[in-house]
This record gives sequence, structure tokens and C-alpha cells, in this order.
Amino acid sequence: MSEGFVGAAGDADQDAEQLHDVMALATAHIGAVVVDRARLRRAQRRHRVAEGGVAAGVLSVALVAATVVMQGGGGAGKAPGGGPGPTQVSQSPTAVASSAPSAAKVVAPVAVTVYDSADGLEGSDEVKRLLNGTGAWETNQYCQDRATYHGVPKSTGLIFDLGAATSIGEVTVSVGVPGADLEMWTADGSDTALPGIRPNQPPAGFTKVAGAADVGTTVVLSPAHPVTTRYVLVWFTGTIPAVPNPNKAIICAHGDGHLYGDSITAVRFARG
Amino acid sequence: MGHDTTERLRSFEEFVAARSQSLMRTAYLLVGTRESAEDLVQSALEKTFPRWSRVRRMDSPEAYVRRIVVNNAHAAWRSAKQLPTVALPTGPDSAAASVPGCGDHAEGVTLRDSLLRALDELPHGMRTIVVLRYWEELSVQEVADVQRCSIGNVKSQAARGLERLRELMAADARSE
Repeated sequence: MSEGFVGAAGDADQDAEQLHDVMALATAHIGAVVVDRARLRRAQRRHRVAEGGVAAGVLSVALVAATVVMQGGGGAGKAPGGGPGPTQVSQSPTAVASSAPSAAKVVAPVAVTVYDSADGLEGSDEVKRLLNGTGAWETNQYCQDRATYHGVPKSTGLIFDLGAATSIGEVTVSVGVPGADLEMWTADGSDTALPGIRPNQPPAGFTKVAGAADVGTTVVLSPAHPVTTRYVLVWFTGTIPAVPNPNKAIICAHGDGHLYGDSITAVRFARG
Repeated sequence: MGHDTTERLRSFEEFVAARSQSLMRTAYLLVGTRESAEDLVQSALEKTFPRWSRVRRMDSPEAYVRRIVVNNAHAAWRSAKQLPTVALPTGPDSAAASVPGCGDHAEGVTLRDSLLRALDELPHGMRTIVVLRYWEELSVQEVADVQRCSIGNVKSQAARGLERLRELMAADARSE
């Protein structure tokens, strides 16, 4: 059929029909899209706001600077793989936020890996710096307020390795840009190996133990009861806010002028 | 959520399940990459949902969404001189240089590249008219409505676009 269109010109109707066939073949691999209910609800809310004549400058909230809370010290560990492991440095007590649990209750993770329910590459270059307090983990930046992989909404975050099964009462997470939804999932207490990535799914054997919507720059995720686990997943599961530092290299077709993403700037695990 | 909202959401999701592939294929022909196409369609669907109670009663809700897709594409073309497009391989290596491992048939991939390269050569307005007329198979009048231009303009652009595509793809085939 392609030869027909590319070859000698036929009459116009025949050409048109052949072009349609070529277009059908060229787009045969294109699938449907999935719409995310949370995004639709947000679109609905934005619509209502616009209808109500209220200025839609809500996103300026997103420009609030990130507050970096130092993580608690104590303990030392190495990242798996023998690399230069994130050595834990004891923090002076003044560096710890006033609401911090006492140093004795703080559990320092020994390693962290990206779990983005896709390929595990999101922000993986920088993530090690989170553990020793020298940097933050940032998500990719997206054209819409939801992380996606091949067009399918995904959740994205980090699995912290506590070194051994430990009873955790709460996790305090410092977030770069307010407005995200965060969830805390934990592995079964008997799990001793980092789970592999399952596309578009949480890691095998993990269960959700806490969650918070539309969080500020610091959120405390508290399971109903302390959970004994070696691995804790903290991830962005819903809509993500507009970032104050959009990557100029990313050009979006629909261009609402914003790029969306977030970051985790610190975490603190408290024994339960 | 109230009952009405839930019902509306369900009906909208049914529409998306049934029609979004068709919208995606059109958007893909307009902008040339799956990512940009997805972006156009998602954005159009989000604009549609708040008005769904009204749109669903239209003769063709899909036409409503498609018009937003086309308008969004034009807006994007205006704001960025060119949409980001993947560097399509040219010349004799094109089949080999196609994305591996996606299970696409090699001949289909080569033909797709050739079509997208040729579409990229067309002015945006002509490309849109060609896609709406020959892919969507809209009538000349319908294309004129979407593009807000005259019937005569649609006819001449469609005919010239078709001829131009045929020439470009024939030249492409000869060079391989």
C-alpha cells in the first residue's frame, strides 16, 4: 500500500485513500490515553475558580522556598555496592527542628534508592546526597501536574534502607515545594532484600501505612501503629505542584507555562 | 463526590476509553512525537471534563475535543517556533536507526519515519488540513470550520499538501 502512495500519482481520490492507509500504518502503534481522576478533579476545581472570577494565582504558593531540616544523626552505614557510603555525621542538637524526637529515637537510614514505578532513574544521580545532608532528591519535571511514564500516571519516590528491621513510629519528611501528596509504604518485617521495580505498581510486599494530601514543606507521616520494617518507601503519589525552577530546556506542547515536580530535602525516621 | 459527579466521571472515562486512541493518532500526525501528542490530548481532555455535561450531549463530543487538540497544537506552534521533535533518522540507515525493541515492524517504522519527515516539511496550517481531511476524513466544510478558513482555501491546501507529501515520500524512498 505504501508503494501505491509513494509511486506514480494516481487520481486524487486514489491518492487520498492511499495516504489514509499510510497514516493508519504510521499511527498503528499509538495507544489510548488514561486520564487520572485526581487530575480531572483538579481541572474541575480550576474551572470553578476561573468561573468564580477568583484570580488563579494559587501557584505562587509554590514559590515558597524549600526549608531544609537537618536529619538526625547517630549510627553509621554504607550504601550497598561498596561505593563511598553515606557516612552519618552526628548533628549538633540545635540543628534539629524543635519538634524533633530525642536523638535516641532517631533511626538513620543506611542507604536510599529511587523507586519511581518506572525505571528507577528519576533523580538517581543526586539521591545519595540526601542521606549525608548535602543535597536533595528531585523528581523529573513534567508538563502536567502528575508524574507519568509513557503517558501513564506513576508514583515516584525513595526507598530507605534502615539496615535492619526496626520499629518505626513516624517519618518526618521535608518537601521542596508544597502541595504534593505523599505516602509512606513499608516492607514486610521479614524482608531483607531491596525489592525490584514493578512498573506502575508499588514494590512487591509493601503496604501503605500512612499518607498525607496537599502537604506543606514538612510533613509527619505516622502509621496508626509502629511498623517493624527494614525498608520504608516515601513517595509522591498524586498531583505534584509547579516548580519554582523550571528547566528551560523542557518545552511542553500545551504550555500552561508551568512545569511540575517536587523534591525531598530531608527525612527523619523516629523509632516507634 | 455526589451521584451526578460520579456518573459524569464514569461517562467521561467511557468516552476517553473509546475515543482517546483516535485523538492520539490525530495528535501524533499533527506534532510527530508520542509525548507531545499525549500532552495535547491530556490537556484537551482536562479542558473538556469541566464542561462534560454539555459536551456529552453534542452530536460529536469527539469533534469538540479534537478542535481543542488542533487549537492547542497551533498555540504551541506559535509559542515555540517549533515543537520539540525527535531527530528522525535520514538516509539509508533509517530502518536500522529506528527505536529498537518496541516491536514495531521494520517496514512500518521506515514508512512512519518517512511520513513524519514529509509532514514536518509542510507548513503548520497545511499539515493540519491534510491530517483533518485525509486522516480524519472530515468534509471540506468541517475542516474549514475547525481551521476558520474558506472552503476554497481548504480545497487548495489539501490538494497541494497531498501532492507535496507524495513527492517528498517518493524522494525519500529513492534515496534509500
